[in-house]
Amino acid sequence: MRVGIGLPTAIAGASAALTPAWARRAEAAGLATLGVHDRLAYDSLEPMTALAAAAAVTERVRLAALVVVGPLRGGGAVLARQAATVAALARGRLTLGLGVGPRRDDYEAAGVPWERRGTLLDAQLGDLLDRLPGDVEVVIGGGGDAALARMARHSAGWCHGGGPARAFRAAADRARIAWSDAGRPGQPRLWGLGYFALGPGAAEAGRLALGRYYAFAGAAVARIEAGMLATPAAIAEHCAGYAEAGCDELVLFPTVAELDQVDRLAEIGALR
Amino acid sequence: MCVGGGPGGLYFAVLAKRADPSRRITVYERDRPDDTFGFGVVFSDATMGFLAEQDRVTYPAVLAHATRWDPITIRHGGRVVRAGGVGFAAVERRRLLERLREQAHALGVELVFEREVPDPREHLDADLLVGCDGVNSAVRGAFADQFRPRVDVGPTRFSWLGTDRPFDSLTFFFEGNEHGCFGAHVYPYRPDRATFIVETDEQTYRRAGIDAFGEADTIAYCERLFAAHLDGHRLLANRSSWQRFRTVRCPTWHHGRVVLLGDAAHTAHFSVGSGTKMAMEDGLALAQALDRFPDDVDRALVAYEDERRPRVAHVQAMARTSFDWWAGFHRWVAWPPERFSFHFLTRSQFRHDTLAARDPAYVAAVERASGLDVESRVIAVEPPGGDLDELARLAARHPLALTRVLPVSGDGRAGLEDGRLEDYAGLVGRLALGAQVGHAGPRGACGPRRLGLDRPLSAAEAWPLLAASPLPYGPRSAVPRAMDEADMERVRDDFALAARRAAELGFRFLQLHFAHGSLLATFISPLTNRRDDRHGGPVARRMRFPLAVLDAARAEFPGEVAVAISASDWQPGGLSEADLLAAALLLRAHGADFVTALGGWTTPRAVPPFGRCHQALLAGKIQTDAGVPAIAAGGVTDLDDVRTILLAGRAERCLLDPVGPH
Repeated sequence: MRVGIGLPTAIAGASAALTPAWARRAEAAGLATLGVHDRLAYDSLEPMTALAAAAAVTERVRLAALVVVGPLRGGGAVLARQAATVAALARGRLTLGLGVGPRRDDYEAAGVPWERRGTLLDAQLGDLLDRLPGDVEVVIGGGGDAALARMARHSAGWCHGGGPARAFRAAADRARIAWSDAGRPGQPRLWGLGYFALGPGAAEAGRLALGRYYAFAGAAVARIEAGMLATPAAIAEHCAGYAEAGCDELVLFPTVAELDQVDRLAEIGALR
Repeated sequence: MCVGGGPGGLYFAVLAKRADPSRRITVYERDRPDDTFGFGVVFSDATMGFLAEQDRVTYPAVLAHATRWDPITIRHGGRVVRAGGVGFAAVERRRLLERLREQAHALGVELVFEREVPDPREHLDADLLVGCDGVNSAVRGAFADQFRPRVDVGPTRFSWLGTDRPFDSLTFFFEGNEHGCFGAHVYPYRPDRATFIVETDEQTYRRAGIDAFGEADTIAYCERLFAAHLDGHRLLANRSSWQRFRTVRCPTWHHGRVVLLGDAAHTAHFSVGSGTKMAMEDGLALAQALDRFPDDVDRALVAYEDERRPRVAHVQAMARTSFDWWAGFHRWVAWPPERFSFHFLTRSQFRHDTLAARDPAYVAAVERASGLDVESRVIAVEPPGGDLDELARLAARHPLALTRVLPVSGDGRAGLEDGRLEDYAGLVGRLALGAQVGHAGPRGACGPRRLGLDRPLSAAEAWPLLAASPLPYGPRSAVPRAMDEADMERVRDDFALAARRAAELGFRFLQLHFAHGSLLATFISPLTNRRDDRHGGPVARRMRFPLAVLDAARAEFPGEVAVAISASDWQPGGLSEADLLAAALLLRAHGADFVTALGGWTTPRAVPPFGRCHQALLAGKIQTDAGVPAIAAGGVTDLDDVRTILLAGRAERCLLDPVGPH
């Protein structure tokens, strides 16, 4: 399992200038991947554009959109061009995650009917796959049966929504079953997510940021906040659990927009 | 204002009033406060824990004194089977309502009894109108055009009774008489009281003449029927008519300022938990959503529905399989008690390992009684990309291993990397191998599956495709030609030749692959067969060509022959359950030793319910309902899954699908 870090693109109030600096620092620190989230109705950076900035200042680190809410972006043509551009800038280091996302307000902001999200994503995928360069790794996010069927049909892998290792394990089993049921050889590449905040006072700031970001999630917010990894030991344990459950790529997203978070994460020996 | 003063509505009113005492909340209830319906209300340990965590004020007063029990007791065939470790709790419905009313009253919620709300549309001046008025909801009815409810009437008949016989656990009775068989669900909620629900199938109900029964007749009949279990105690009635369970589903639960809650919005068969439990969870979620968006009712209602809908969908999915069991139990009531109870307990949630962890002695008894050598019933399968070394390893470890699906002819290939029977010539002499053969049909001429499914080869590399009807498989697939009789003769002969070749090479077992949208599958599924000749229409006609292929292959192969079909298309408009049973019986009559329950992939729109053993119940239909030996497949990931399926008698054998961390 490889471990990467999220870019600070969806922490409200974070400076956009932090993104390229963060990308350089993460690559220098040896982290495997830079991840971005996608959120329209929130103070955040657009994920493909942010990845383009990261691509311009890095050489080796993988760039992963985990995941882009496909239906917000119309048919496949525009997204395919964006992805091809990022992939060209990154010389083939792009992983494009796609899903329908859990938030109605993003759809309202984009003027896209929430009820049609699955149909729209399927149509977009058909279009997208014909146009994407071969070196873009496509993964699908979402835990429902329709998402797993979509994953097994079209993609190279699957992205879990985050949570403790045992939840990842159960969900990953279903993804592997879907893959096998579809008659795909081998196994899907499995991506896992987590949130972290390290250092003095970081946990509190991180929980505040998560509370704002996940205000839409209702009762689940408390669970998400409680799952935030706030110590090196918690991160080591999380990594071990995910690795054992068969995760291929784990990306830990920051909740505090300070550059020291990159170093604090990279210092943890268990990541390698 | 709330229409309906049941537990869900009252709980919501209490929580909402406590959170903001300035709210004016009125609850209308058409009955008097001391009218009670039903006896006890059941909650699982998980629900009790959830409510305790989310609500530290009302919950302790209302539910903390519930009666708790651990084992499930099954009394069947003169034997008592107990399985431990399954925690439940129950409270008396009347006391639950009393406590909720006390709290509502103390907080200043206005309670109006004996008041029907004749037309809920006259109350749209309220800031929020909560329809918590039960399965026959007037509020839902008044806005039926917006809520678009779907109500499915179940196949069984049941009556809600009580008893004063003491019980120490959740108990199920199964009893027969000259009319048929009956089951009873018994939930103790006081030391001397239990809910006692009697359920039976339609035929038994009619033979017993229950449709003419009054309440006293029901009591007398059921007391006689269950006399051996009642130890001289009585059954009690409370408006105990016989009903058919109605499952309510609505595509939306809110419209403008009107919102549905509890049974008004959704119901699920009582065998997986009470509607009261879901209604109270709804009430909690709605109150929390209103707190989260105090100035935006619309968003709060969206949040409420987003929170509750997936959970309710999960319960309804479990209820569906459980209800299926109750609708069919007369078919397996004669089984030995261990197998019967294991079949019952594994009908929706429990599996071999979860039960073994809770009650190892019970599971050991089931295993002993079965006399099964589970490992001898496992069939392994070569990886789909082809891997002879792996196949050899599998065949050394398991009693039988099948090849991946091999095309019977050049135009039956899925792509350029398909295997051939001859590839196995070196292995088949020394290992127990089975051959899987098929024809890809409209899914032919595609690129390698490691890149994704159904990506057509270039025009230069591709070949013409065949199908029952000229429907392309996916949006990018080529249009296949509808087969004519000459095509059918040729394909039938190709299958016969492949069967003969497999026998000559020394394969011991043959599986004909008629599933997953391949050529023969397109005849079987109504989604892909639009023919108007003798091969289209009802299932017996759609099966005509697949049966001809089976006949031809069967004649050439002396060993065991299985036919794999998509036992469900996992898609609306797909193969019905009645058609599945008919198809299985036809395949058996034409010499299939087994029918293998694959599923889905009939079209790209199929959505199978992926998970451990996700198609085992389909195998069970073939095996127990049609009486045709079945092979279970799909998410059978380890020997534990195999035990779950075989000990319950849902299949003869299992295709192992050993996914797991690599």
